[in-house]
Amino acid sequence: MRSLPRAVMTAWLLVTGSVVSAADQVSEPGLFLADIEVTSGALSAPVARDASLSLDLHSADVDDLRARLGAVAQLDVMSATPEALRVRIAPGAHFTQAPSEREHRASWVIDYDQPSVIALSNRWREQNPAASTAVSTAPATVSELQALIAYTGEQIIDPNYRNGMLIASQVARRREGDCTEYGVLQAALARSEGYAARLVFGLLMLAVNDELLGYGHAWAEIYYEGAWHVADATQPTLQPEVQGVWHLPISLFENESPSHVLELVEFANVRPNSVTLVGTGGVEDATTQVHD
Amino acid sequence: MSYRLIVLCFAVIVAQFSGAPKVFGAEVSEQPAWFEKSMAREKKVRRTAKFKLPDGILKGRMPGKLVTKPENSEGSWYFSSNIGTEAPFECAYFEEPLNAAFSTKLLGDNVVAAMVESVGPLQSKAISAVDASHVEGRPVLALEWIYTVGPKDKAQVGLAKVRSTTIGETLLLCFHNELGYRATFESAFAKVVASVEGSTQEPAYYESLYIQSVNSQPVGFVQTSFSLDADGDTRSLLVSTALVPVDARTLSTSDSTTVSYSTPEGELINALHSNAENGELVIDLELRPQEGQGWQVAGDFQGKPLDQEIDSSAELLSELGQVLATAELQRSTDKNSATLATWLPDVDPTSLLPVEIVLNAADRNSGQMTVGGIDMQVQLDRSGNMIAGTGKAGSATVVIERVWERGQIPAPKQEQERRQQQ
Repeated sequence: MRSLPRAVMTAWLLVTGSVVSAADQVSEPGLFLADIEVTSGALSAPVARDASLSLDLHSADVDDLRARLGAVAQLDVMSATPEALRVRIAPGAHFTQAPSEREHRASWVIDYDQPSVIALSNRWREQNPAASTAVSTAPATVSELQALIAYTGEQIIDPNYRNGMLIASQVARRREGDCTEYGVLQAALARSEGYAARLVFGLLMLAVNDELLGYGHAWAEIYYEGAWHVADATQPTLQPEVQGVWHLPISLFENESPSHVLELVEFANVRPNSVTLVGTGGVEDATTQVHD
Repeated sequence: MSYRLIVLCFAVIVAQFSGAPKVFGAEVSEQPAWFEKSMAREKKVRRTAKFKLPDGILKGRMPGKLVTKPENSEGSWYFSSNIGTEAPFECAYFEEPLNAAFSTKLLGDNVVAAMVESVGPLQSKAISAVDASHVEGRPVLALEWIYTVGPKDKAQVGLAKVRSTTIGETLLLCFHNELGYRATFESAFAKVVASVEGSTQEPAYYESLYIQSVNSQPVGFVQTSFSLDADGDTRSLLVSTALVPVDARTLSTSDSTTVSYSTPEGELINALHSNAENGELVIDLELRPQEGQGWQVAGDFQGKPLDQEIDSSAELLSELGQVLATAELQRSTDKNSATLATWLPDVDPTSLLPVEIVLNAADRNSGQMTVGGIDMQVQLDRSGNMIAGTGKAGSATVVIERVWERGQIPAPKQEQERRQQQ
């Protein structure tokens, strides 16, 4: 019989005369799931929300990773070794590929033409009758899009890591899931409103209590005002403990057909397994803080 | 070997690589001595008692003294025994096929829910252990929930232990709800499993059991079974079950079944595949040949109807055919590799995926298999069946290992002839 690591046990059990649980305050990472090891993760000083991070990304396939990150704005590839890629990343990094018809269409995964998604779209329009849409004459404002992102987040009433990857109609019906489900639903609701939107897989780097944490993550990108923008319905920036948020996009989710699991396999193969924090701030800062 | 074995584990694991916790916790203190002492309690149970369900659908021996004789309630049978602990050793047998992983989780949830009903509100609930093992070839899934219930200032801590096994296509679940007695419960369940005889098992000419592990944590099993039908064709049954802890309080369950029919030569006749994720049916598909050429896949996939042609002139191998083709490659003196078309609906239900097998030149009982970006190093027996496989999915190491087998592939000639004569 294999027990789970002791840390899992001790993390939930707190004793003050009788047994009281700390479980409600704890979300332990799973055995082999989303957490990424971040070495040298301690931040030497409080980090500004708009600061850049210099990171070494350790991946089994550095060449593939480098090719992917070449198409990312707000991210510079600084150098590479066979084991790691050094990058500098600013908040809001996103893929640069121009929007296409594909990113407007209903697909097997982003199936906003299904009744369960249509119902959520209709409710959004009822609640926001003044909101513009991409297809209307008045362009959307940033605050309207932020409202759509917040609305998407509110639709997930049971956040959990239980599911592999649900398609949008399943998410809309079951109202549960993790970042993948938030991202899928976000893309569907945005497309339903006429925006080009797509799903992205990558890493989420968070500055929490003066420490840099890394997670595998998924989010949407929405195109408006001539550029792609990160649309993360999990809204990590709203967490009070979070001092800084960096999305590091790695895979554009292009295969939205029933064979989409193959995309996940591809992402799993190229995803960095660990990250080393080299420095924070601009290029100059990062260079001076390199640990040789 | 059955190529589906490669993807089953990965299909469960790969999609779990995203997701950021929304809350953060702090390190907390060690557990108190009384808790450690309670958790360390064990009992030796030597006595066993016979039990038998009507019509002989199940019989065996229960450890301890039988307290509740089998009672039927809406298709399930409940019975319990006293094993010298405060809580009874309780079992439930379900005559209908049930998803093993989901049912195991559900029973654990129900045990805790019953405590909430009788003692008071749930204060905490966390996974204490998950395991996959076997007793004489019968797969065993195990789960423990540790929980606190009752008013906050008088909360009581409990340990709900659940174990399940499949008997043919039916399910036996047992549980014990008391702190400690982990080895006692494990041993008691093993005694029941070793003793039970059901009437639902199909005669099979080959059966095997694999345990799936991720990062050394056993999470589930895969059972294969090959039997002959009245026409002398092979019916293969592949059952996969996984109980994956995705965080301290959340389990993901996956239960899939593939039934396929094959000619004796290994050509696929047709196949049915179903998969339930967390108890919800997400794949229910049939693959059948089209008139002339190609295949048709039809059914439900991820909550939507799917009806699509697969235009392929490639010969499609059955589970049996995959084993035979691998064995042929192993015997070949001039080929080290082969690429074969396979239907793997967990990965892509709408096309035939190429599976590449490359055998090691120095050891033809080992090699690498690649399908859809998934690589697995495999060890094979001489008949083309996988003994073990190891693959990486990001930071996760996935291992599938055969722990039990019976019979041989292909079916003994005399058995095939006997069937055909019938």
